[in-house]
Amino acid sequence: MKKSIRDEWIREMKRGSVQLLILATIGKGKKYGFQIVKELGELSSGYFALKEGTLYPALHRLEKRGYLLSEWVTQSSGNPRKYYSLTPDGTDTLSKAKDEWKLLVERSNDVLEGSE
Amino acid sequence: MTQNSLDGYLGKVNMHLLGIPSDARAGILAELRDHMEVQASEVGTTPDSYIMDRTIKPESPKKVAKRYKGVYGYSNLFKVLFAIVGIILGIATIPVWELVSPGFSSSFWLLVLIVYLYWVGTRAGKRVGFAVGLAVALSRLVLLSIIATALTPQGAILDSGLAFAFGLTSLILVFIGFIPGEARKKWKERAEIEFR
Repeated sequence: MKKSIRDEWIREMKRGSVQLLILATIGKGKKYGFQIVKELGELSSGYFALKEGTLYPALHRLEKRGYLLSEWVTQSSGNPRKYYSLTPDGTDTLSKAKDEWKLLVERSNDVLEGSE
Repeated sequence: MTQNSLDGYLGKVNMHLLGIPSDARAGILAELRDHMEVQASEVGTTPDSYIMDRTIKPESPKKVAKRYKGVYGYSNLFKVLFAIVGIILGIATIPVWELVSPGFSSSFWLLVLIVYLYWVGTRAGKRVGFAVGLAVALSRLVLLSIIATALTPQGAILDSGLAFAFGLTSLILVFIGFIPGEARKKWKERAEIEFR
C-alpha cells in the first residue's frame, strides 16, 4: 500500500473517533482546552495528539450543536480561561455514542478475525 | 507583523478571521492565547519561544482561521457585502450595455459573476450562496424590466426569446452558489481535524 494512502486511512480512522473522545474527556468533569489535549494525549499514550488549532474549532462546533456549554473564568493572573462541560444533550449523545462505539469495535473485530 | 511572537501569531490568526462575528473573534483569540501560554509554561519555555520552536510547529494562522470560519461562517455585514458585490456584477451582465458602449461585453461579466457566486458558495456556505444568487437574480430581472421599459415605451427591446433566456440564466444563477456550498460541507468537517 502506498504510504500516502495508508497515512490518510489512519488519519480518517482517528478523525472518526475524536469527537467522541473529546466528549468523553469532558464527561468526566468541566475542563479547559489544554486539559483536554493533555488528557487525550496521556490516556492514549500519545496516539491522539491533537493540535490546538484543531481542538478549539471542534469544541466550538460541539458547543454550537448544543452538546457543550462553556463559561469564562478569570484566573488569579487576571487572564480569562474558557471551561467546557457537557449539556444534558451532550451527556445523552455521549452515552449513545459510547454504545455505538463498542458495537463498532466488536463487529469490526469479528470481521477482522474472521478474515484471518 | 511577524509570526515570531505570540502576539504576532495571534495577530495573523485575527487577520485571517476577518469576516466572522467580532464577539466570536475576541473569544477565539483569548482561548488560543491561554492555551499557548499554558503549553509554553508546561514545556518550560516562554510563549514567544514556543511559537518559534520548529519541533512544536503551531499550525499556520490561515489554516486555523479557516476552521473557525467553517464553524461560525461570515458575519451579517459580510453577507450583505457579498450580496452587494453580486448585485453590482449582476448589473454588468444585463445585455443592454452593449447598446451604450459597443466594446462592453455583458457575457464576460456573466462569466465573472458565475465564478463569483461559486466562490461565495464554497467560502460562505450554501445558504449565503443561495441568498446572494437570489439577490442577484431578482435585481437583474427588476433592472432589466426598468431598462427595457425606459428605452422603449412598449418594451420592444425585449423580445420573448431574450426574456426567456435572461430569466433562465437568472434562475441558474440562484443555484450556482447553493450547489458548491452543499457539496463542500460533506467533507469539510472531518478534514478539519489534524494530529501532531
